[in-house]
Amino acid sequence: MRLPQYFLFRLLQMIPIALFIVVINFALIHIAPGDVSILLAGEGADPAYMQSVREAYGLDRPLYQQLGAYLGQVLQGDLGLSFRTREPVIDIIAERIPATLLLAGTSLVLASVAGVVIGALVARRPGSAMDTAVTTLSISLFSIPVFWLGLMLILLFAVTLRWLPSSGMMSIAGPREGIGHVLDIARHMVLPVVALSAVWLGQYVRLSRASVSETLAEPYVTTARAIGYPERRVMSRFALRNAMLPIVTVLGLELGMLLSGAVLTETVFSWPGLGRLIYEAILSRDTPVIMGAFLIMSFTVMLAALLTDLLYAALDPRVSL
Amino acid sequence: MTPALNRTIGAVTRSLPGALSLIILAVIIGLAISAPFLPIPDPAAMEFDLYQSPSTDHWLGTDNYGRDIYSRVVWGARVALTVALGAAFLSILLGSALGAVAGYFGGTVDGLLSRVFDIFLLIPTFFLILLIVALFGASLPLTIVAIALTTWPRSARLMRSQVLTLKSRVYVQAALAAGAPQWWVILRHVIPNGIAPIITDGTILMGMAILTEAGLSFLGLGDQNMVSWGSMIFEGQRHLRLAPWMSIAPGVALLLLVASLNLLGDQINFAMNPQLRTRGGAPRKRASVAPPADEPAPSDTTPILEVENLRLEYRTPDRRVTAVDGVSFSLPRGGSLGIVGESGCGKSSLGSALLQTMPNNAEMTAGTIRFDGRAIVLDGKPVVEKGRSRIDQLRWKRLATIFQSAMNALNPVTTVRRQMIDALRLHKPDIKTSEAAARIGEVFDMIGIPRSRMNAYPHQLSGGMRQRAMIALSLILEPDLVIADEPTTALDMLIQDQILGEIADLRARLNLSLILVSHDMGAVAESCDVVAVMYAGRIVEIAPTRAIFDNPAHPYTRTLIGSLPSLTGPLEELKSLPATETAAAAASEGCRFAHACPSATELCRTTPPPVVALSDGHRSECHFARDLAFADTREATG
Amino acid sequence: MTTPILQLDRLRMVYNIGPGLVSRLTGRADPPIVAADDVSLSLYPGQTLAVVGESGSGKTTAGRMATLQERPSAGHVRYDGQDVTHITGAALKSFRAKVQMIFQNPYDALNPRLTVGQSLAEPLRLHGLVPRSGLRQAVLEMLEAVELRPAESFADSFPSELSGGQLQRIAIARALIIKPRVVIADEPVSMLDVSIRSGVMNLMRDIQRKTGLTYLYITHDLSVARYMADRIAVMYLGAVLEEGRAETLIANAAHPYTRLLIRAAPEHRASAGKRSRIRLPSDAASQVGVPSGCRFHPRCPLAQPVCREKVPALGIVGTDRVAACHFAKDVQVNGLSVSLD
Repeated sequence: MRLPQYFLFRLLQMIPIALFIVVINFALIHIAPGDVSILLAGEGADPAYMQSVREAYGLDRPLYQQLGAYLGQVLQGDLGLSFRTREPVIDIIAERIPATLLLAGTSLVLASVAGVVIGALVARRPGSAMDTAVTTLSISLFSIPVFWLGLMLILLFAVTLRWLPSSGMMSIAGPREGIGHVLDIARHMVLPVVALSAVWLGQYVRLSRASVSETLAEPYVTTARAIGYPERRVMSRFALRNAMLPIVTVLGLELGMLLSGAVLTETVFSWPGLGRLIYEAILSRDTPVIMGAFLIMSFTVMLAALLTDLLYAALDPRVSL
Repeated sequence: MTPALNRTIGAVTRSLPGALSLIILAVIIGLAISAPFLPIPDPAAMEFDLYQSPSTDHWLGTDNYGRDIYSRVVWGARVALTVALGAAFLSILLGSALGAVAGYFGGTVDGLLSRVFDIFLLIPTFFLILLIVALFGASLPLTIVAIALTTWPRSARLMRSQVLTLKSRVYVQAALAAGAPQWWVILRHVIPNGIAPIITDGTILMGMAILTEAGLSFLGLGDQNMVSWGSMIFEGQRHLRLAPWMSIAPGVALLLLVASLNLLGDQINFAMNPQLRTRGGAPRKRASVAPPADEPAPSDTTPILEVENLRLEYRTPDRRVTAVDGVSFSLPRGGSLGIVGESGCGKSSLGSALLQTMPNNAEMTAGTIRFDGRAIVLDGKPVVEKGRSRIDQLRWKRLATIFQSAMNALNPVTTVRRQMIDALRLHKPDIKTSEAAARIGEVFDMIGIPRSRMNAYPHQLSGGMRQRAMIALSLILEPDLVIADEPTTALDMLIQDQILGEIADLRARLNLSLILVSHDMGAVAESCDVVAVMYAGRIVEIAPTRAIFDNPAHPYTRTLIGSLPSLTGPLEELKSLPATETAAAAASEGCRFAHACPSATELCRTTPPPVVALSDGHRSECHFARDLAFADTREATG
Repeated sequence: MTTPILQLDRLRMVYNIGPGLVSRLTGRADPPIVAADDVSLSLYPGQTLAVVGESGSGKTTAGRMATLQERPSAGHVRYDGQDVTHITGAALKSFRAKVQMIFQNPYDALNPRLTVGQSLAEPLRLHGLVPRSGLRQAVLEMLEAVELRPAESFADSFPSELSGGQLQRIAIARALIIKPRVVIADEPVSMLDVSIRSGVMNLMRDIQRKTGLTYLYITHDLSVARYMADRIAVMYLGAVLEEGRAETLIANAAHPYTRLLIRAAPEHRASAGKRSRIRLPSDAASQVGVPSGCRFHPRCPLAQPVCREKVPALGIVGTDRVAACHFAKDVQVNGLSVSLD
């Protein structure tokens, strides 16, 4: 199978999973206490809208027909209206995605690159005092509740030292274009990115340390040394190249966990992303938005898993497509 | 208590992070259990002294309602621990049951369940929990159930892979073959041996559960009737500027509890698999020496390799093991030497010392190695000349090696051809692409690999072909000396025979010098002029191949030869060593083999044997070497 | 000739026939693998039959079917003349008490959490052969019988404290403690050091001499087979290629594969020095599926066009001997130097 076909094949495999997630959503709504129509429309919706929701989802029909109707709605991208703003949920979410991508993406790149490098360096000296110290430190790092780390950073750098802004994505009266705009956003990004990537860093350091030290013990690494490759090339060509495989897998699988960290971080820093949206939705009991966000997050994670799969297939010749 | 369990507990409590995390856990659990009896204020009692900073009255200060924060942190520990234990217990229970079913029964059941595990792994759990709690209303039991419902696939997958491994374990097979019913096998053999990693992972699960609950509470989805650290931070956030202690204390408590759980899991994992901590690594810097001043220029008669009194030991924190204990030999140019011995005799350590590829916990304590008359190791230290070690100057161009291919000796992510080109380019940077291609084709033809397989990855080749590729790689730069370490082990008989034959042919054709390390006397017989037999770190006998088979002058050599059944000769009772003896029991004084030797005397047990020179190139370390050498040889070889 | 105590009658083992719905949906279905193809073997009381083959020859599968650890896809297993192919429950349990198994890997043979004594007592407890109070005594006697002395200290040790040779002796003890009539031994010495191997083989022979046990001895090594067995069956890619009395089979092999195996024996390397070499066209492992015609033809130095097309049947090539080769008679006379043109 060629790579594009493989991609298509894996994409098809995702369909039942996507359906399963939608069904979970549907099931939860029906098991949850309270009127389904209220959960779908939001509390205090006007009667006319409530009626249209009832019809769209076929709430007076049998359950399997309701499921069909619900699936149909979701497939059309209709996740309902936010009960707070009366805007379509899908639009609200779409609006918030760039900010989340900016924050999570930056942190992900920073944390994974630094984590792999530090982990690989430590793996060169397994069992040393440095190794124990770094391992203990990285465990402590990912044991920190990310929201609390954010608060502490605000306390130190925004409240006490007044070096950096504590919340939002840009200053109220700041420039809205050009380099000044970019710098303004960058300044706002520093603290949330540090908080988020510090926690992930711990994860990646450990992962990379374990993976690299495992490959360094492989016979082909001994072969490479016997051939006379300098240690730097042994590390890059033989150890890291092979160690990347498990690292990539875990990266893809844990994206969901990473996103949950992003939500909490955004809450602390009032970052106008999906996380902040979910937080606001919880406070105002805006269930359509929470459900929509769950669906979107799930699809994102599935997409990430798919990309990881493809990356893995490209990296490892042993994967038969 | 099995020895392994004792060792694990010992190793965890002895390590600093392990002990530290156990102490922290003990303190937190102790405080949580005794909270109702401690002389601390009611966590919900409001006083008028709002926003008090920490003082002797209120150790950690008070909050916006004047409630004592220390008391609230202690009560919050109860919530955190409840969540941790409850969620982990439910998750492991559900997960391992389903995982065990999937793993044990396999087939369609496994296929379906595994698919479910995979799907659940793709669901962003935190958002699902958040959705559940948001829909059903915040309460602690619901949170615990929601966490367990979303994390069980983790335990399930772990248990499934455990059971799959255990199912193929010989003792499980043996119990089934002995007629044990399924439930007996599961209860007695599978669960006790498979549960350890799941319990270990439980500590990680607990940490995750605590952080999840804290995150929910921080988003305002905490149980309003409970004091949870997350909700304390949720409240503290609003008063960050006025009363930072409101958020600091519960956060530190969270960090301490989760970190000590994670650290504990990590330490148990390390204690159960000690190699996780020490394996691999880059070669460490070793003390080196300058080349000797009075080194004579090599002549035609200079041996290609000379080893004198080489010693190598492995060091672990609590002991030293001598693997090579004073080995000397000399290999003439174009000659071939077989080094034969059983597991643990030090033959592979000797091979790694010759190549200077020994692991970091190995140390050469004495000995000199000369390659073509030039010292590469002097007094156990590598010789460095003009900032570059001499062994590095020899690598692959003059000294190459063939490893066991079954053990992944070729880089799995690179094609065989690419690996050859890289090795060529490394040592001949100026080589033209066409020249390189020609050379590779030449070597492939020589070894008998079809050129069509050139661009294959190692995993696409059969065991025999992979071994041939390894040999081709070792010959690519026309080395003078090749060291082959068990080159045919794990291959089928016919392939083994073919490859040994090919090595012998190549050696003759290319005038290679060869060292062949093997456990099999038969494997070295054809390709080697001289055979050295190793036992407990020493060469106990070395002789020309014919002499060692016809006139073995060491009881151990006689055992090795006499224990091989014959295919065409007369059928005689085979020799063997007594069952209760192992080489590890070898005495420190006297002859190393005395403990197992069928004809050991008091002299053997007390006095180390001398090296007895029997004839040209035939030496044996036995008090009775002469008697053995001139005894009836047919009686010895059977 | 007496009647066989255990008989494998035209056993066929195919894995992965009709892949599951799930694997078919995900496209992970592999083609079926024929691990055993019409394998017939007979074990006579008090004798040893050795099954010799390379990896993938189906020798282990044959052993697993003989102990009913796996049920054949077709064919019959007979014990004492009774068809036991599909027995379950109490019948299976009493069959297991009579047909025992010794495995290849001694380091994995014992539950690491149990003492040697506990592991040895397990089969006795399962079959209720010895009262609880007599367990210890039975275990100690068995340890004595496999030459592990002092038996007391071995009974109380954990597997991690013992060497490979000692572990394999305990595994043998566990198989023999319920006094079976047949023991299937799958490469019991191949993971042991050479000097220890012979001791274990001698022990097995001694026990056979004393108790009249029947062995099915699975090995890759013809010389080991000759040492242990009365009869030898040579297997290749799931089928028996040649079978007969050990001495005559080795002295006058009728199948080219057997001849090649004999040539590859290490002892020939030790004595003959240089040999003329036959370069075999390919490895067994590089074959996908079973070749057409004679399954050995792609590697056979004597292969002729007919070998590619026609499957040779097992034919009688001497007293009490069969071989599956179109040119068996010629091979018997001329060996591998036979000229067939």
